[in-house]
Amino acid sequence: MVRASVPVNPEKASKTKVRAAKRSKKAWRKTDSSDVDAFLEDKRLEERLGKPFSERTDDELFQVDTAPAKKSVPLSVAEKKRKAFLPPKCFEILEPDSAVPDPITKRNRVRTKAERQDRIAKSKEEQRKKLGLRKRKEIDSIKQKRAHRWQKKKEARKDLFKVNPWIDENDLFNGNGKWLETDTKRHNLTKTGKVLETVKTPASVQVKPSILPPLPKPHPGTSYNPTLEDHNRLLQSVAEKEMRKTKKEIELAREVSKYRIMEPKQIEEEWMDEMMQGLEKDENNEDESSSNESSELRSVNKPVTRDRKKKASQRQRKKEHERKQRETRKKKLEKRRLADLDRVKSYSKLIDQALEIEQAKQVKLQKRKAIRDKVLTKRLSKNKFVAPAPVFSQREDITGNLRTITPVGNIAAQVLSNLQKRNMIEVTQRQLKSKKAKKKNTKTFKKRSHVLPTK
Amino acid sequence: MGKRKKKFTEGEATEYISRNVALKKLQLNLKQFRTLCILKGIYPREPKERKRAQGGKGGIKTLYAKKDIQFLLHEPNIWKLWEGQALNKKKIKAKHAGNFEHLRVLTKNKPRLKMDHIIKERYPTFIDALSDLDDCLTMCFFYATLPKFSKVPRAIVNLARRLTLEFQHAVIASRSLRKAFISVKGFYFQAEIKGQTITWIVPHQFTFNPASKLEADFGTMSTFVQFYINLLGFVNFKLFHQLNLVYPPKLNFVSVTKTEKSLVDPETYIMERVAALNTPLMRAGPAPVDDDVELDQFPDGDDPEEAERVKKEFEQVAKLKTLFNGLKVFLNREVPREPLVFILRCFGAEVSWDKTTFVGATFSEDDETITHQIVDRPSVEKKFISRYYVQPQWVFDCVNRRELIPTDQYLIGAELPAHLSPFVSSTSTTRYVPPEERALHDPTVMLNRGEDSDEISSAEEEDEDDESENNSDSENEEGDENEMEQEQISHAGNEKLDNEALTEEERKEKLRQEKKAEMAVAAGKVPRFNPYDKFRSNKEEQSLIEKMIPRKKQYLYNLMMKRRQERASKVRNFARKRELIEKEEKIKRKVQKKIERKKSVAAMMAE
Repeated sequence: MVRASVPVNPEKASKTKVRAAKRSKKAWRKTDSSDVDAFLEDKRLEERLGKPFSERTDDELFQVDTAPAKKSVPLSVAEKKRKAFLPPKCFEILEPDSAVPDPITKRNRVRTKAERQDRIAKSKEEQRKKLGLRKRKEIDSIKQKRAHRWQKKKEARKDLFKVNPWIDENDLFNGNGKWLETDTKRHNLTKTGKVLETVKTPASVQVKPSILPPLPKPHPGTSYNPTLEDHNRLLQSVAEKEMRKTKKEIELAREVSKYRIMEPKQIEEEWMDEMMQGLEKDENNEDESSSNESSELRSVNKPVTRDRKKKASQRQRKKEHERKQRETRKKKLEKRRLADLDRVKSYSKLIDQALEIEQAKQVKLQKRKAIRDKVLTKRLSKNKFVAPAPVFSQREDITGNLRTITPVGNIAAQVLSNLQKRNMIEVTQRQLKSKKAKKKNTKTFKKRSHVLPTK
Repeated sequence: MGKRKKKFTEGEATEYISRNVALKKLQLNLKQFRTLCILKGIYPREPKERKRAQGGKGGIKTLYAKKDIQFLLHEPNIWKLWEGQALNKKKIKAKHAGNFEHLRVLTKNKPRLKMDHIIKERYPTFIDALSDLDDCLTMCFFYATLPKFSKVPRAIVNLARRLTLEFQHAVIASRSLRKAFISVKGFYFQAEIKGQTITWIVPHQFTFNPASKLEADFGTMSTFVQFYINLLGFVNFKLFHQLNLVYPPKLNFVSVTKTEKSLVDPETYIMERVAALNTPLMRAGPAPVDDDVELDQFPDGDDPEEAERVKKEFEQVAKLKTLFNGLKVFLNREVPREPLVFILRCFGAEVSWDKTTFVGATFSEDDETITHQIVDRPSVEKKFISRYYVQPQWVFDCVNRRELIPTDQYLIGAELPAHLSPFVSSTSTTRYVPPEERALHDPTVMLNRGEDSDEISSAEEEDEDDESENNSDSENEEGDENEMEQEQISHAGNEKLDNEALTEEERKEKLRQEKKAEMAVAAGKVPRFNPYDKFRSNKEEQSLIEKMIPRKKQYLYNLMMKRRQERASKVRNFARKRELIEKEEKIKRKVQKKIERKKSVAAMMAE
């Protein structure tokens, strides 16, 4: 590489030199000093990087080959590894390459701890190391390092499963409580006087709250390439469900629409009207009320007349008739009672039969209820379980090709809702904090230091 | 007067405890309580009489059995949760003090929950654990695909991925996969391990689209997955040991150069190869002998048909286990690699892929010994004659039909036949099932049909060829019959003549013969039943039974029977239609054949 000498600008060279007095700054501005600048720049560069090539001797520039060129030896693995960690070659240009020496020849440097150490102390330390004596601090640090290493190793292996919980399968119930803490065991011993090592597992832990399968069988219509009939059947079932749902909604809306929904203003007006009853009203209303007063008062019920009143003899006869009827009825009852005494046996038999039937019915009912309990979704919390939307693909999404498949449904959501369906977790409503709500709940204030002084 | 009893001090009211009370009793916050319940398998309960159980309070509260909560109190992990609470307070303090170094240390020292005893508690035997693996596998396979986000720690995702791979290796080694189905939701798999059917879904690749917060509660799910991961880990451990495989998985033999090994972290190197699923794992001992050897024969069992069915099923499964033995399959890069490698390896195929798509490819596309290449694009530039180019559905259909089906319908670019679900229960009679669909459940149906139709057609053709010969034969037969008649007539005439000319001795002899004949014991004949009689008597019985139906239920019964008949007639109609169509087609084919034959004959003559 040849370092640039003084650049000669042909344009500027051709220009005639402006001859003027160089007394003031203004005059100097007009004079062309670029050549001087370039020369100085060149000098500075030379200072930084050394002499230009043109001024160097041959010995400085060239070298006589005395040894044969080395054959390129493939790097060893260790070398390769070492090189892999070196900074890449492309970044070399970013490194400083100045030949300028440090302008401060005697720069103050903080000496290292070893340099600062006293000569005697140094020799003592050396002797101590020679004898293999260690300070408490050193011993501790070695211990800590070892512990740390061990901990790291353990953590790395923590996700490995090295225990077989089912080693002794016969030991179904005895082994499951041996994990009690020593504190608990001691407590048990002092309180009960017995070495209690086990806690009885409640039976409910091993019994599932529902007999429904965890993964329902896939509908044949959900195949990525279904038959037309299967897909139609799926769509039909989905449509039926949707229709049932909308029907219910419509019914509900119809029922609700029967009731008046009043606005607050309306309610207030009505209340006012109610409270004002019997009080004086506006003049217009007064006229109406006066007109009402003038009309005749009319009763709602028919007027009572004496035309159809029964005579005393008629009443007497009726009374007699009723008395006679009562008597015959009583006699009959008495007779039947006597007869029933003979039939006690058959009656008791009838009662037994009825009881038996009732009992059988109860047993049947209970059985049915037990099955229902195991199948139905129970109400475990305030929120009701809502079955998730059915998963299906539209006809146009089915390409019959695995590459261009359009996946539908969220597997995780499906599993979770199935867990809810099987009574394993309660149905919860997600509490989503909107940005607005968040803002409402947080108090904001400015720091004292940030508050501007007000006059 | 006795002392007045206080309300809600006994009975149902004391059996239950509301969630808030439980929280106070256990001194946990809601999140920790939920975690503990999920881990220990404690579920909320629904009481018989809610108001009584809630101590007279209305509304609906989440209730737990009191005994369950007492049981939770004995859980040693609860100490760790309490430690966690204290730690949280310290963390908050460190955070606000700006002491981030301390905060880092605290976060690192978060107490870990131990779960091996919980698993033993909830699943006392290995079989119990296997029977409850459906949810666990589905969730783990789903989590293995997730990216990292706040509710899903990276460690869980990594572990889920590793454990699912291990499980797949165990299924491959034990050859226990039975069914596979491509649904729009994902790939359904069903395996049978130790007599337990385990079903799980593997999501389609690259289907994760960030679910909205309302759709899935990742906080709760992560707690479940935390437990499931432990369960799956222990199940894998046991499975590997039963199969005599080394656990954690190691590879038998890997051909790697020294430099390659030194440049990659050795653990990662093995993990990547294990994830490839196409190399067998190292065994700790000889492969265990199949525990399901020959079935015992019970000649006088109570249900011979059932026994026969079981035997057939057993034989089919035995055949299924070696379905793809000897196949060498190459997967094109557009094919979903993992599920296909898993299925193919489960039935004994050798699998490889383009080495740039995933590590662990064992042979390249140029290998001439490849028997099948699985392709999912309309055309391929370079084709080899020595192999079949089939679409991925072929693999799934083969497994579900339990036989190697011909590839002609599944070749590259072909329009595929419908992919039927193997999870449908046995064919119902309430609707018409076309033979193609029936063939899925009973592969012999289609085969028999094909052979029959071929035989019939060939036989008919022969018939036609020999028509002239037959004609001459029939004439001969007629002649024979005439002769027979004449003989019979002559025989009858002879008897009459004999009776007149008989001597005494001969008469005696005859009498003796007759008596002897009376004494003789003839070989018994099996009485023949008229099937129609049986049918008639059955029908009579049926009508008698019908008369016993109470009037109240008569309408329902009649309706039921009517519907049943309608369905049956529908099925019959469809079957008849199909028959007619097939007949027409056969005739058409025959005509076509005849024309062709004539043409060829004409061509021969011309030559």
